[in-house]
Amino acid sequence: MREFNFDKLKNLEIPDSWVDGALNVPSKREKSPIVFVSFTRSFASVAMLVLVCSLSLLLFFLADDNATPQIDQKVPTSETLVKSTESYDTNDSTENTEKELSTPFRRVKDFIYNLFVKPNQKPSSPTEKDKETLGSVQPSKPSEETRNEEVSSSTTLPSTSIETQSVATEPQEPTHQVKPTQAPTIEPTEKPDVKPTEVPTQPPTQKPTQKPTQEPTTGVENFPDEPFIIISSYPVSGWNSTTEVVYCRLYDASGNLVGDSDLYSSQHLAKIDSQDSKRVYVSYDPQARGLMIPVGEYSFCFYNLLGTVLVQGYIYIS
Amino acid sequence: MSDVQFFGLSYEQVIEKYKKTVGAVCVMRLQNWADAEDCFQNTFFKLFRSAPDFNDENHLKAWLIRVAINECNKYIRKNRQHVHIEKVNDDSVDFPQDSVDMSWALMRLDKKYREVLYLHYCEDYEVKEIAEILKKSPNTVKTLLRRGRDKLKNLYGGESV
Repeated sequence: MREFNFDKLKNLEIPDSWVDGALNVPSKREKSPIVFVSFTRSFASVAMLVLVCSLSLLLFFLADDNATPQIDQKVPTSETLVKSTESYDTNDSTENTEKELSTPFRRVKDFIYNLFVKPNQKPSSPTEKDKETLGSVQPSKPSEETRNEEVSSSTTLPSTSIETQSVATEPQEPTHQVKPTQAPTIEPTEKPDVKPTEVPTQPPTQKPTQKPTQEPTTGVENFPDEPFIIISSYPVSGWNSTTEVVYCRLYDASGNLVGDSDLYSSQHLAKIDSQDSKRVYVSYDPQARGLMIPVGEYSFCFYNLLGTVLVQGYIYIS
Repeated sequence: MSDVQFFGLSYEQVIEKYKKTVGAVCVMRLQNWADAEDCFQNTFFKLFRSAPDFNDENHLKAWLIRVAINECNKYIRKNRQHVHIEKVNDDSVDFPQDSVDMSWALMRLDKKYREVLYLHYCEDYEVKEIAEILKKSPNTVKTLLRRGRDKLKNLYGGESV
């Protein structure tokens, strides 16, 4: 048997140029003694991050400088929002969207403000009775007792109490209630001197959320015989205070604004009744502002000078 | 040159002692002188820069072979040179057919057989050592050796190696 080997490969002649090349080891790349040069990218990234953050904060706090008196911008919660109509949504859709977007930021600002700014002097807190009456029917005239009695005596009295807001009607007109199926939270105890002149047209068994069968006739507007007041409340936070000016606007069923088109005219001026540690109680008397409100379905909205919607809801005046 | 010592050997001495081993691995792997030169030099550059601690000279030799193979693989990956053996003949290492020397036949084998056969027959490594260098199991190395021998036999004409 012949023997085989790999001598050619084993004794491969390596050229001298290979060895010379291997001996000339290229010098290592020396590190720069300056730290900033070695970490240029890292420092640039960190610097950019800091710059962006600082600019964002700056813009965030400077953008609303004009809004310093009122930062709180509350989106109506389930507690305050009774019902929204299409017309209302159409009118305030953009505003609501902006509010929703800015709400988290405003809450942060409120939190910061609460940390550094002492809350304003709080007004005397309302009594328990006041708290209870909020969201219920309240007569706008001083003869409450007699009127309340009248209301309590009428079992067919529909009410508007939707948690926190309602429309107060005169007791002489038990049918002039906003929400026909919800009972008032306060039961009047005395009968009024004047008997109701109109027979209630709606049966007491009417289901909630249903409109009364009696609709205002077109062409001839029916006005409620007695004035009414829209009472509502909204939560206190941030810079809300009793010194703030509050307005209220009404939209009819077709979405038309009731009253002056200038939303900040005296016709829309509302009143802050009281405030406790949690809520601010506001009221709006359209008749006192020279507005004749015909019966029908309305949506109302309390807002401040900045246009911030404080509370909104839905009423039916009959 | 620096005074770096590799188990009692200077850098120059290491090159002189193992230049044939490293060179043969590179040539066998790449089958091209120019490419093999680059890998040859890179292997020794890496030794100089990393200067690992070796247990003995065998460790140093195995390390050089392993690094040379890695350098060749890296070179192949980087350049994507798919050189066929038929095309290599003009530019490749010339191993004339010899009745005794089987280097030319070895160079025609697939690289996985080439490495194993070279380490076993040229560098006199045992199966276990080859397995450690190539990071393969001993059984795999045994299989490659057996198949490589069969292929060599076929190439040469049926006589056993």
